Amino acid sequence: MTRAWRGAALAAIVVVLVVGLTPYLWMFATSFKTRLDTLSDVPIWTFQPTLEHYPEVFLDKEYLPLLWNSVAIALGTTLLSLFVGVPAAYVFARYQFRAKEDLFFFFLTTRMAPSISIVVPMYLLFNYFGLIDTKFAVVLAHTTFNLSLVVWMMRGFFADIPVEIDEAAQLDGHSRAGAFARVLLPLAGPGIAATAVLCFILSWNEFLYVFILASFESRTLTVGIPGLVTPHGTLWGQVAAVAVVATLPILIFAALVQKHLVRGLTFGAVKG
Amino acid sequence: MAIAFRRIRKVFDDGTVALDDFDLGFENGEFIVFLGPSGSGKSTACRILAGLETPSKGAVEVDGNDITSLAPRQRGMSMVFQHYALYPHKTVYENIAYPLRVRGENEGEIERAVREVADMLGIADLFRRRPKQLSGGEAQRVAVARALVWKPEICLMDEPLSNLDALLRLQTRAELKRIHRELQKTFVFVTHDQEEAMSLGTRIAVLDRGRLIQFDTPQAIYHRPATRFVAEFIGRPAMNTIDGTIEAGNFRAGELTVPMPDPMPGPAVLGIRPEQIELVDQPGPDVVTMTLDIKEVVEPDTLLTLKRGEVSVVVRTLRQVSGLQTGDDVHVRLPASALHTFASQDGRRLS
Amino acid sequence: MKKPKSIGAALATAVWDRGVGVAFLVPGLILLTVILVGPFMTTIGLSFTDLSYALPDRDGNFVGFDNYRRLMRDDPVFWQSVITTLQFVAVAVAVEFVLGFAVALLLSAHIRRRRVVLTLFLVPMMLAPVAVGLIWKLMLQGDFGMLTHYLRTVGLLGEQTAVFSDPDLALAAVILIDIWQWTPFVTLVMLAGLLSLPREPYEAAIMDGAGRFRIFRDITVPLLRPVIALVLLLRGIDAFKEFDKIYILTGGGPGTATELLSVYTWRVNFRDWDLGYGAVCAFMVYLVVLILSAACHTAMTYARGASGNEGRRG
Repeated sequence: MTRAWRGAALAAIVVVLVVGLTPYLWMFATSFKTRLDTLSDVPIWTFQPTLEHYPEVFLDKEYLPLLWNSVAIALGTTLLSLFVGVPAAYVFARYQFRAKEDLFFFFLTTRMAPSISIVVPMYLLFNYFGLIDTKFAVVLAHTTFNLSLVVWMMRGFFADIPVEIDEAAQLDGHSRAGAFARVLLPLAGPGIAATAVLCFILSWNEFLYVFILASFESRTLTVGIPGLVTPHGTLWGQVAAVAVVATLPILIFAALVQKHLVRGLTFGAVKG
Repeated sequence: MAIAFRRIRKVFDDGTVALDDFDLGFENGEFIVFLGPSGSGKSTACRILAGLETPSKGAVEVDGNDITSLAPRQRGMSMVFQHYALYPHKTVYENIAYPLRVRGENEGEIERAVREVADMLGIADLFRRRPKQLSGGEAQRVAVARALVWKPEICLMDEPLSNLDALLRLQTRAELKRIHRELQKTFVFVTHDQEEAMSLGTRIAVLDRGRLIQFDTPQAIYHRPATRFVAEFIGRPAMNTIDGTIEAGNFRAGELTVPMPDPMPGPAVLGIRPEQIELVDQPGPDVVTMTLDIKEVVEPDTLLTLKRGEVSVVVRTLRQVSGLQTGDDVHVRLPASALHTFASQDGRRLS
Repeated sequence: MKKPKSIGAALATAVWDRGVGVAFLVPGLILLTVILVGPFMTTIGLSFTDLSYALPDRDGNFVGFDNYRRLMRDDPVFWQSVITTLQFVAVAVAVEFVLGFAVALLLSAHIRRRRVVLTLFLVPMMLAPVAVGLIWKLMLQGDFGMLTHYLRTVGLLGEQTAVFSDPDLALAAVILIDIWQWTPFVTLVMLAGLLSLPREPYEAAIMDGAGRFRIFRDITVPLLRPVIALVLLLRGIDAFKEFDKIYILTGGGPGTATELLSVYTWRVNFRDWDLGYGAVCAFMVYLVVLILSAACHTAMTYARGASGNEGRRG
């Protein structure tokens, strides 16, 4: 690549980064701005930061439980999806059976299923069992997409481990189940961790299911933020404060599993 | 302890018949080699014995007990894999110790057994390394150590040498022979390399396209191959086979005529090994004169490709033939004792 | 070798060896059936009833294909939202693809600290869609929005107009926001695809005297075809389902200018409480997604083959 080319490429990347990051940084800054600075006619770039919005919204307006709900629900669905999905992924990676690809396709469609299409009957179902506005209901709803994410991602990770390892473990004295639990699971550990983080992120960011199934006691941060937006006099500092708390951990997690992100988002079809 | 395959048939899901009517039995303490080209079913046979594959039909027996439905861990066998299959997250020591740990041995016994087997293979100084830090030869030894550490009655080896370079392969081969002699256990060794098979096996099972062709000692297989396929597969360069007919006490193929003491008229295949063809200086009654086509010097041998009409044979000789040029006449004798005849149709041995 | 421990051994084998395949797979299938297939079937069932929580005497009587007839004949709003959705999906995905691929190409050409750049670049797509909606709502506020201010300064936006009160501008804005959020996804996947390409065809093409553009056209694009198809389909499906951002930004308005199918479905179900008819809309959305998923599955099979995944003995 010539020097000029290199310069142009670098400039393009800088522009892309600025466009990509400015909106988020603006929101981030807003969470530290006084009300006056936020509402200023001319955008204010330098300001005296204030920390007032965070305690206001999390303590006075009692948004702290929402944070706990977000964590509990995301953890719950992650554990459930892994517990059920990892063994299933192992079967898909190792066994040959008729209808395997069809079953696999079924798992794909569940990942794709538009929540708007099943949230009504799901509401009726959970209502029937008295589960509306419980974390458990949301965990189950989020498992619809996370379970298939686990199956798709972990299938790839298991496929990366040579079959000979399973066989060696069996000849070393393990049963099939034992070889899976004692040898393959530890080997797939990093993959499981990455999958878990992605599950967590997807659940944490989800909106519609929580919105419909748990709009009061069990609502999460993502559903809590719009509640602060009113036609008249939205407190943008507080909105921004919640938004920051609702996004910053996710950004850190995402950076951690970036290597495996591609695999997770393409259902294992493309390796990162 | 006697091991027996009873009329095993194995069909894979995609319809490939890996083994058909596979019947074989052998005794304790032998070094059995499954030999065949790729796709012959040799690996499948080994994996069925290990319990890693289930036969579609037939049974595997140990001392007359049917073990077909037993899981691998219940069979008392160990295995060395082609790609070694060491556990990448465990140290060498832990890899070797693992079969003992799974079987619940106590720490002292594990330590003692691991040391013993590691000393035998000369890998005691590798204990703290991880599989990634091992060379191919070292990984190979660790895999063998792991398979032998718990003293299984039978040790299976599925092409364990195919990923080593040539020199290492020779060394490891010699070492396996020594270990087998010391341990007096049954080894079952899968390979596509006839030289490996000939040097290691006490008996060799030659497989082709899912069927057992011949099961015998290396000597018998070399000197009395049961079929044309075995004849061509064993020995390098491969046995010369010439399609022709037997009539009036002679074998004829084009311009070539060879006297056959044991006449059975009809189409037949004549076989003779390149190293058993003798170069002679003068034409004579039992001497065939041919034309030199290609000369390859593979010290200390020389390979000569000779032609007479359509017929072409390879001769391997230790004699100095530096004077010979392409196109020269060469006189060869085909000793009657070195001749093999096979049926044209199915390749069965005739004599 | 120990004596075969007949019955105990057989039982252990049945449970811990042969049973593994079924035992590992069935719980997942049951769970998905209960929480997904069940509701889906219920949706289809509901679509043949007149269930409504808002209107009297409509408590789930069977009405045959009435709802479907209404959808096909008497609901211009539905068809308008189909058109809006198609516009949204087509424009957003096309621009995302071109931009994202371009950035991927930039990044694939030995940029130092690629990982860091990529991580920063991925921020928009990792944000909760709700947060994205709020960020842009803040940026585009009519009276004090940062972007509104600058757009007015350079004359791209009239003094009295706000982006989300003008129908055309509103649709354009939500499309642009989707592009902002999802272009990184295209970049991420295409970059992975680019980096996994084999070197030999490139070296061969250079030896054959092909120029930079020809190499791109004749080697890169054909080799990446399965990945390209996959990216387009994945983005297409997601864009087609888009709900969260629109709900936060415009709620489908002004009027029905940004009312995508999913937003319309939401309105029928949760504003009009017309669950029978809403089920038909929901079913339509699902149907389209199913069809796209099937195409996606095919693309994935090819993409896996292309990147040489999944080595297994036969």
